[in-house]
Amino acid sequence: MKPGRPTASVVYDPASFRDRHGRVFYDGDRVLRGLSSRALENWRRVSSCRFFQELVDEGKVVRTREVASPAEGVDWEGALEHERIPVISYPYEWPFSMLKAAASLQLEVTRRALSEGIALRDASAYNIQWIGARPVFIDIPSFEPLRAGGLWTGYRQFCEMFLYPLVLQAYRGIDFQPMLRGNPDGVPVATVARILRVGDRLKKGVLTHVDLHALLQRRSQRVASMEVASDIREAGAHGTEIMDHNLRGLQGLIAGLRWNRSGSHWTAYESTNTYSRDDAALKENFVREHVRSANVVLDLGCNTGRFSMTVAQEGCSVVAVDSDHAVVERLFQDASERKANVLPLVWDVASPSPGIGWCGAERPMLERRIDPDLILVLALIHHLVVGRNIPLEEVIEYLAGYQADLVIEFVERDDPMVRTLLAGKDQEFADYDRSRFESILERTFVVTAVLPLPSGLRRLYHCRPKRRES
Amino acid sequence: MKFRVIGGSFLTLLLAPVALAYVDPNAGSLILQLILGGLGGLLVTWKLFWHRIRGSRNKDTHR
Repeated sequence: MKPGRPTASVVYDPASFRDRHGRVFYDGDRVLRGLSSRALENWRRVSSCRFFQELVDEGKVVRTREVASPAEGVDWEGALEHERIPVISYPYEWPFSMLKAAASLQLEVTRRALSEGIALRDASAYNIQWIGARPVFIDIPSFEPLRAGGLWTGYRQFCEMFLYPLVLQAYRGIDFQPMLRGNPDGVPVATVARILRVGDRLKKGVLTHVDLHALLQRRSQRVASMEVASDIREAGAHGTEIMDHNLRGLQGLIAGLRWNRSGSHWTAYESTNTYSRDDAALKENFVREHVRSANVVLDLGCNTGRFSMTVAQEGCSVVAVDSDHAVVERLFQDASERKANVLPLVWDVASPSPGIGWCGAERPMLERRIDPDLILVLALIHHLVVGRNIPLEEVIEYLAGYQADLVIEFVERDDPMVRTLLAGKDQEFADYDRSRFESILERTFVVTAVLPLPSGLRRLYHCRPKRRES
Repeated sequence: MKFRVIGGSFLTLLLAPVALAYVDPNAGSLILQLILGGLGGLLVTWKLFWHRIRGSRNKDTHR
């Protein structure tokens, strides 16, 4: 069993602790949420609203039902059961267009709820999850009845977790993932205001949502938000009108943000790679043949996701990861257009996102959130061993830790790409050798099929972990 | 300059013990929503400032 997963008894989700009126817990495979009496009352009102039913039917809000009684040993007034999200992912693993799609969904859900007198009390990007490449809003207790004259309490959070990261990427070309990984609450307005240059001030949204916002936050540092909120409520009941006006404005702003990728080396890889046509066709057949019995497939170093899409066509649910933001961005656009069951993530196997937040367990590392049946390791080993100096033995040990089948490719030292990588280093990397690779692989895996490709430069293996065999 | 004085008094008058919210909406972010909030927002902003100005005048008269 992987840490952070439910055991036979009830396990609280490590990220669900902020709200005193509800908490997510697991009972076996079921995802449940205990609710206080206030939260239960809110749920009953919200779930009877038309907008809510429509959003669920459109697949934009997670399918949820009230269950008769919470699981044994859990003391709540009531409980909900949610549809299970296959793999939980975090904003610092999403490419630009995924964060943008999540932002659009957040605004759409907030606006549609508002039209029926329901407010969303926060705007955390962690409340959006993915089924394949489709975003889903999951935080049901965020919906609560609107207070007359109130404003959107989630506006600041929306800016920090969605708008500012997108603005930095679109206007300055700065990758937002490391910033969000370093600060789970998002990018503060003061930071964005300092990063943007004079020329950016004329771009849409900067003077208002960044500069004026930073000024007002500075001037109100010692002022209690709740007092201001109550003053605003007393001054007039225009809250809904103001909120809708601002939400509409933000929808336009987000929709207009574009990231012009300056051309990653890897986005051109599909046209510049060293495969012969025969090699490519045989490789695709080998992959298709060996993924058929798998349910969840992890594609490590997926590049533009050619094989992720192939595997998804075979009916598998694919998590496709690559460290290059530009290629994952392209894959998300493809998967989203073709409605493929592929979750593309910006993730570096040689420097994976660590556990962050409270106790380092609130947002665990990806390895603890996925349980693949099979891992695709195509044209990756040489990048780790030669490109990143990781000993071959440790790469195979790492893969064995997943206890999953592998479809793994070994690229010979004579391959032009490997030669280029070797030419950039002053070491020989003697451990990068096919017979050595095979003997290390056979320590922890049973090789069930081998396919040498016609070029003589590449070889594919299908293997099963030894412990599962016994 | 005048705006700074009025704005400053509006904000300092609001000093009060912090109440807890699930997410702190931030006072500055709330005020920005009013400023950007179209006609409805402008009306509320005007009312707020007018109350504060009248409030400070009354205070001065009573002294």
